[in-house]
Amino acid sequence: MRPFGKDRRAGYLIEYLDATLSAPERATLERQLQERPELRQRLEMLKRDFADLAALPAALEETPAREAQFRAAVWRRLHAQEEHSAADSRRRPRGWFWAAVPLAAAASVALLALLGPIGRFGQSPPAELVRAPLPPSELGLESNWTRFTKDQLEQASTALYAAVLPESAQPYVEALAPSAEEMLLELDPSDLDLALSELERAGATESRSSGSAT
Amino acid sequence: MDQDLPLLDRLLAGEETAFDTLMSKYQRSLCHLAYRLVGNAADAEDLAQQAFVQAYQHMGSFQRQSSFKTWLYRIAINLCKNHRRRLRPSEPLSEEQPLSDGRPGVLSQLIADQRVERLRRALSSLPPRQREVLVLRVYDELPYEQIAAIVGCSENSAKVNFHHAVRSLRRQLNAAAAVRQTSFGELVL
Repeated sequence: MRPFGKDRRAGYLIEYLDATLSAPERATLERQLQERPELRQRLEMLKRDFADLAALPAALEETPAREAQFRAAVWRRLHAQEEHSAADSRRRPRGWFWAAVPLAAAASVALLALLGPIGRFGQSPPAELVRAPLPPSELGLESNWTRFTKDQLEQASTALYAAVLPESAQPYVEALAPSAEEMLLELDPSDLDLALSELERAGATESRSSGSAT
Repeated sequence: MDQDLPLLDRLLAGEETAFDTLMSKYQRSLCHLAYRLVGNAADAEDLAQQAFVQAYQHMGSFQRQSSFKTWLYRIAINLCKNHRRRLRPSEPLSEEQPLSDGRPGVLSQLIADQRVERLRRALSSLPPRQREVLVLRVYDELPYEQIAAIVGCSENSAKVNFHHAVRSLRRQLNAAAAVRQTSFGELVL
């Protein structure tokens, strides 16, 4: 379906300027342009819009020195973050990963409260799960994380449970799968790679530590 | 094949100069992309730097299902999106004047051009998705397939957003022209 809406002619003109019309459509439009001055006028206006858009001045001064400064700034930030994360990793994993724990904890507590004294959920949750939840905005979580497949989400959820939550919490966490998926869905698309990377890193760390323990 | 893959391999093998090469290749376009999206040069540069930092840090998790450029742009677009979300909803983008390169003439003429300024304002008032698609199409001349991969929508949706963006700009420019004509008429009367 063509994305033209009601004004099909404007749609064709835009595609004409955008060079995405097929050859027959282009030929038809060019014939119409020859016959209809008002169409030519509309095309001229659109042409001018495109040209003006393309001509909007850039904001950033571009000199070799400035570009070198830019790259140096990126390296400074990287080194600063490496130092920070090296210090941080001695204390605890960083980033959104741990920010997810309060959410999982809150959901767990809510679930336990709902389920009450039914089966294994009648037990008290481990103390480490009972933390004050933070609002998502404070955790830097964003909405519209919808580009990923269900498999990816499930994989991320599973790894999340295995890597973040203590073993003693596993029985409670099993019941949280839908909530955790929803939680993952709240993340911004830019966080996919961050999330997967954190998950992989956490998984690798865990493998190493369990390997060295044995 | 993605031409950047050999550079990525070199980087993953520990050759950091490969990342310098990647930055040299994309820093300019990334800064401009961010500027078109956030409307502020300092913020744009900061966001472009953040995008490179994130790309470097998560290079190992890059799946290579898209090109490096698409991945990098996606990171930058999302950083810009988050940046805009952090602004108060009622706060318009601070469309600042571009930095002068010290040469009088061409830039100052452009800045003085009211039509360009109206266009800039119209561009900044577009919904984020339309603005992203328009910027990627007009300034980066990317195909819709790649735009769709960057902004996270279907190819058709990218086209629709582009159409809406162009028509919305035209409507706003028409409206501005009508206001100008009315004001002129009142002055004459």
